[in-house]
Amino acid sequence: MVTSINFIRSIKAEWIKSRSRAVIGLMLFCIAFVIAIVLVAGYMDVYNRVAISKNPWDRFFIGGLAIYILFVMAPFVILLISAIFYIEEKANGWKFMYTLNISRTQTYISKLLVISFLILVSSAIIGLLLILAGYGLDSLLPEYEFSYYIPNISFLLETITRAFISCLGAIALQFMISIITNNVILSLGIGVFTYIIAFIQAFSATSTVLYNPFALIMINQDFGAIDLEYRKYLIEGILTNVELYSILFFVLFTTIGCIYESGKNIKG
Amino acid sequence: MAHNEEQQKNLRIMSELAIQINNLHFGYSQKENILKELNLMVPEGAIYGFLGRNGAGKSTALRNILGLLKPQQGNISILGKGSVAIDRSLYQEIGSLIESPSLYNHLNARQNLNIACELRGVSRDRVDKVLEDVGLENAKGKKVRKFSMGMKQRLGLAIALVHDPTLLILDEPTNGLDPQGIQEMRIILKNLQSQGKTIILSSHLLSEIEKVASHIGILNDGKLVFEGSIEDLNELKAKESCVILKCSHVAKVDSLLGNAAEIIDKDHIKVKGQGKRFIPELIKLLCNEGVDIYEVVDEKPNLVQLFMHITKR
Repeated sequence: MVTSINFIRSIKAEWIKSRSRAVIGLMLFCIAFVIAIVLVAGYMDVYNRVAISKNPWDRFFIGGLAIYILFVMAPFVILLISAIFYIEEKANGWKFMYTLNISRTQTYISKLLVISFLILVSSAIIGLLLILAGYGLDSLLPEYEFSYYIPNISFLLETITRAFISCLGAIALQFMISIITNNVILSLGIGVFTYIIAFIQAFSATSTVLYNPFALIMINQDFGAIDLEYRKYLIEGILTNVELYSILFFVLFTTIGCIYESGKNIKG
Repeated sequence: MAHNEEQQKNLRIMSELAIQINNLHFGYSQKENILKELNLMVPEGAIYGFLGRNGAGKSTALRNILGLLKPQQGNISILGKGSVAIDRSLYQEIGSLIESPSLYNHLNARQNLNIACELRGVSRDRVDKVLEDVGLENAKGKKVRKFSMGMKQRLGLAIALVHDPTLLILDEPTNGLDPQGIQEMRIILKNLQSQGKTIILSSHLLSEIEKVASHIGILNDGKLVFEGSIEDLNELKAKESCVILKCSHVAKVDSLLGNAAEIIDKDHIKVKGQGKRFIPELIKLLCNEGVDIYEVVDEKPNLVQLFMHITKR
């Protein structure tokens, strides 16, 4: 009971802290970046994109979500965690948080949950704005016929949910790296390096792709850009091996991070 | 029976101590020990001035008390209940400000305190009260990035006070404050003491500590070299008191007084001594010996001199 109250208190405090220009700005930039590319591409490439008697929403969603999931989501995770760490580092926040009647593990997990929630919220907003962008595009270019078809909301929700699950491992890994290095620039560098490796692994379809949490984000869903040779359904239509790996990585890196943090001396 | 009485006496002393440290050792590496056999006793209700040179281990000791650093050896007892590593609920009775305060610059004073309220599990109604206590009631809506150094220190203190702790651990709280800010901080600390709070306060501003503290601990090279009340310190000061005489026949005075005297130059000599009758008796003795006295200066060491003397020993 006390533990869950502590968790709620901790999460509320993290929520207040996250109202910073860096965090909100980054979220808005990421959302605006994806939507702007979708709109510009949709506006400029209209004649290649319109297909007669096909629901335009399907292609539109796949295009928009592919941009987000393949190219934006992993860098967004790295930058968001770095921004949150930068705020904490600048505020000397750790030494205060570790002199509270809340265990270091609870503090660690609360922060991780808030970060995960912010990524989920950003993903959901992108999904919502994709629908609005479709209607917006339709008002400019009626040949798309967005208003004649119903958007496939369940596909949108499923894709976003799967993307979120497949990025949990990357969130936990980047968070753990930030905790262990205790240096924003260094953790950012390691994160970017791991992402570049993941990008190469995913696009070259190497067998090690399943062991890099950043690569899992890219190989969980079929956008027609990456060979999904190593993705398999463990429970048909419900759970893929990629999602399972991501969840296991999340648990593993969170456990390592919590153990490390619990035994750490706070010097600064 | 005698053993039981001894045990009960020890328990009573323990319960009257806000902090007791026994034989504490700590080092950042195996080669270097920052704290060596540190023993420290902070009585309840005291303002305990924790003094030491830079690098003496003051902040390290305070971080050990707060559980930010893990002691390698020794015992820490807080409010007679053990250490925070054993009983985390002790944190609810401790407020701390370690060096620079933990403040989120993008938020205002109220929001910073709201975070502390959430984390401490206290009502946000406390925010106005603590802001008033530290004199920041007119700056509650102001972003912390626009705060002066002194305002930040005061907000840090407000955060330490938000859950109304019984024990306050303040590491260099007057850092960066101007003379007026230091004076205001002194008044705040005195008020807090009058509310029954125990305050342990480290500082390198010895004169400030002397004005505010009821007890003093002097740390040198990881060991406590002096601990006691201000009265104990005054007694020690008296012991170190001396007079400087400007007189004739300095060498004669030196041979007359032996170890108590020390020649400064051909006209001046320092004579150690204390008490009300010391100066008249000394003058009478020297006059009887045919020494002409031109000037008598009564020298009582200030805390800085005493500190230098103790830490040099």
